Amino acid sequence: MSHIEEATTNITLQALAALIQQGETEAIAQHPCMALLRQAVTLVAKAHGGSVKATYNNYNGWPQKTNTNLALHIPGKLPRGIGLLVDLKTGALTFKGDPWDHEEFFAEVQQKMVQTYVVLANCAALRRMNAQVSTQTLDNQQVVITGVMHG
Amino acid sequence: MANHPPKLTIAVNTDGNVSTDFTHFIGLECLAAGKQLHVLLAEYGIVTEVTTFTQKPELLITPPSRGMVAHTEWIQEGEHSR
Repeated sequence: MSHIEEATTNITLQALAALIQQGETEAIAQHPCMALLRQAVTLVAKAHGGSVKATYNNYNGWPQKTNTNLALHIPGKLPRGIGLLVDLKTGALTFKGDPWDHEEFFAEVQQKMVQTYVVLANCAALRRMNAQVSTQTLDNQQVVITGVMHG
Repeated sequence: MANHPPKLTIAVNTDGNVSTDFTHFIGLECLAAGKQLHVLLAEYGIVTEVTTFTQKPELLITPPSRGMVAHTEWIQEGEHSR
């Protein structure tokens, strides 16, 4: 039997939100969702020649903390950076920063981080299902993951 | 078909929405695999809501259960087959 599913996805990091609220620093660092989040932001940073820091800057250039300690900085394209935060009430992944003069890229890079997180999560899930996993990025920026099941 | 291992092909759009194609599964194994995938994704904070479920032509050999019919979009023979 075979079928095709189309689905909408939402990133809701409730377990991580609970740990952040409790201030469980070590548990936060080791949480699988945090590992994927860090990996996603690092991949997007590398793709654009950027870096990952713990803070983003406000309009005045003052560093602002994030509750994930993750912020993406891309020289020239995202000079003040964009912070990744987890909403402590809903667990929703949110982005914060000052997009002034870089609005389009600011929105694009958020979407790229969400897409990358979803790709990494699907790859991790498939590996846990004993699948051999490969990925391919198409010209339209869609990412195709193939998981071949063994045993 | 017996020579091909079961395969999932997941297309992730730029907005994070997905299309998952299950191929070379036997019987209802694809439904079990889909359920397992959703459970594992939930552990990574991914909440999935299936908007379209399309059976492939080879499924027509096995009549779907009554509960599945309401969520099934029957397709023309040959369409979507790989």
